[in-house]
Amino acid sequence: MNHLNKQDKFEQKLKEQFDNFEAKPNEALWENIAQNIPSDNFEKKLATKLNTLKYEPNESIWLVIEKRLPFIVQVNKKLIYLRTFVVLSFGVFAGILINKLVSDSKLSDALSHPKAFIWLEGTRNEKIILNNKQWAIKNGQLAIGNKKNTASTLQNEFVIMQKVSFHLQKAPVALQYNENNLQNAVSTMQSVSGTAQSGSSNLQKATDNNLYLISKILDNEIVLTKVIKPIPEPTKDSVIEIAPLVKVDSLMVSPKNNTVLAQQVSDENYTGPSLKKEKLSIIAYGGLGYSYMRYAAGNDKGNVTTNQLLREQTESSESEITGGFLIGYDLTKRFTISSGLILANFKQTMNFSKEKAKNPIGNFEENLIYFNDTITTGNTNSANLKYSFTEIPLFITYKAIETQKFELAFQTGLGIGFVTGINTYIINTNNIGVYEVTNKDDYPAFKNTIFFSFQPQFTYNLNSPGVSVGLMPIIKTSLTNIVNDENWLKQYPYNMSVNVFLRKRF
Amino acid sequence: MIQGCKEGDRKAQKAFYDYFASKMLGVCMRYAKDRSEAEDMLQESFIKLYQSMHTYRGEGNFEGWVRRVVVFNAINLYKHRLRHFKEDLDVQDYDAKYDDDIISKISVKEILAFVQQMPDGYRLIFNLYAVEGFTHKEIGEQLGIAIGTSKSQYSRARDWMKKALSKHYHILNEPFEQAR
Repeated sequence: MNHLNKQDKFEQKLKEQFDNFEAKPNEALWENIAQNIPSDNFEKKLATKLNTLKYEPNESIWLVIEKRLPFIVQVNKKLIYLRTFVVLSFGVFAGILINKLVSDSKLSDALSHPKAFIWLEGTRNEKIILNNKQWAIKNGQLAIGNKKNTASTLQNEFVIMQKVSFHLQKAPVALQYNENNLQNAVSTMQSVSGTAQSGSSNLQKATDNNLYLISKILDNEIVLTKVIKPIPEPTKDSVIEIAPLVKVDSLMVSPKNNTVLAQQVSDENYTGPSLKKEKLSIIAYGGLGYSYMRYAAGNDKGNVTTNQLLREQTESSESEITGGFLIGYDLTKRFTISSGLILANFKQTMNFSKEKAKNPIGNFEENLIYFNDTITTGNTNSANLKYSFTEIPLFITYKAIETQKFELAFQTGLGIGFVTGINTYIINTNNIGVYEVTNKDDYPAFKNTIFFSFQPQFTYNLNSPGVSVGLMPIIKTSLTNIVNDENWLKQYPYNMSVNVFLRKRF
Repeated sequence: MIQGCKEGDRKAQKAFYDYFASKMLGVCMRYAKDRSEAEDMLQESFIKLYQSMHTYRGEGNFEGWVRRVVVFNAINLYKHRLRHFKEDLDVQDYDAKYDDDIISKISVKEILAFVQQMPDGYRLIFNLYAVEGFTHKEIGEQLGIAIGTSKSQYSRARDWMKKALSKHYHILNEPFEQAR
């Protein structure tokens, strides 16, 4: 207890001493403190002043930034989707427009084809002028008018009406026979139908199941000599047997209206109520594809493995529009040969990072950027790589399946790809620096190539004569190296695309 | 313009550059040692801006966001030069009292010249604290240094700047004062 009391006294004394202790500070100390008291508004005034600073940058700065922009522009996925939608919409719209144009001209188109049946679908009371003589469908009957009477030219000619009916169903088919061929035709039709009736001089109401043979055209009436039945629907056999027909000319429908639908079938290659298959065709197609790059070692094997690996790791596929047109010629019913012009574009994205190289190249090359940096995998930099070719192909097409409406064909062949545009970035072979190649002649330079393509075609035949639309997936690959410098990694671009196409036979 | 930049529209990118380049070069000049270095910094900053444009959500002041990207680019550029903190500022052997009005009497380009005379580390901290309004804690976090280091370096820079401005002002004006 005593010991504690002593301690208390010690501390109390010490406290008293310190409480009364004073030391005079150095005068400079206050100056230091005073200067650092922020009440002088030093920072505020300085900031206000410095924030007014403006300097016009050198014009070359933007040029440098612009040159580097392809590296940093982010790929906008929405833009790609929008672009795809626009392209497809354009394709559909173009298809509809072409279809409409073809429909409008189908009658004159049909008239240019001799030996053809012409089916008309229309409403009642349409007028048909044949060889300057007006024909009219009235109350389900066919009548001939005399507005432009040139009966003399018709007297030795015959007209076959087939399947006459109205109200937007099968409508009259008027075709001319000359007298010499009539007997053959009648015999043929008899043999097909198995029944033939004697002629009648009365104009009869046509029904869907009757076939009228008009033996002779007089001044103001049609003489029906034969009624052959039934040929409810022209079939391949029946139509073939009706040949030969002579040219149908001067056939017009008045008044012109868009509801008239004319279809013609060949008497030789009839495949249903569709247009006779012409041998020439043109296909226009467009679509969207994804591109890839296959690499192989060049002559210089140094660092090839790491360089190839790095390029494969940094490059990824990108979508790109494809398209072209082809002109085809049917060699046989099954085989078609075709050629044309194709846009073969290959687009990729390169994502990479960079770090200071331990052993930089040290010398600047004109199109080598980041020449002091080692390129690594990463996402700090992004670049679009694009290789554009114009291809002139030679394709052979095999038609595997063909129905009235659908076709399935396989097309394959080779094409010469001419370099038309290069805008790419290539990691240097030692992975230090990136070559910016904006021209096919920029180091390491690019050259033309040979493409191999394989493309199934799914075709749907529209009602319009000879017009089809379809879907065409395409696999295309380069067979030869596109890099000019043989020491570099060899590059073989390939892509897979889905295209829609429009085909017109003519 | 912002949307165009996000979509990589070159015209929008150029318009964005034309609008902000001179202002941001002014910012870069404060952090750089000279104009050449500032222009390099500006170039890198714009690349970064286009790169990160998609991160701007339309919230807050756009110019503030642009400026912040430029400042952070400067921070990253000079971070590795922190060793220069060991460099000392030349002692301003001038005892004239600093007057609060001096700043308003000296042109901004003259002030800039003094800022650019500072070693990199001092200049960076001085700009961040005095002009950008960063706290010492934020500066410490950004530069990876202790708060105390930031405080002491700033204090030295501030003292140096005051003396430098004071000396500059009085040297320029003393003859005229004497003449009166």
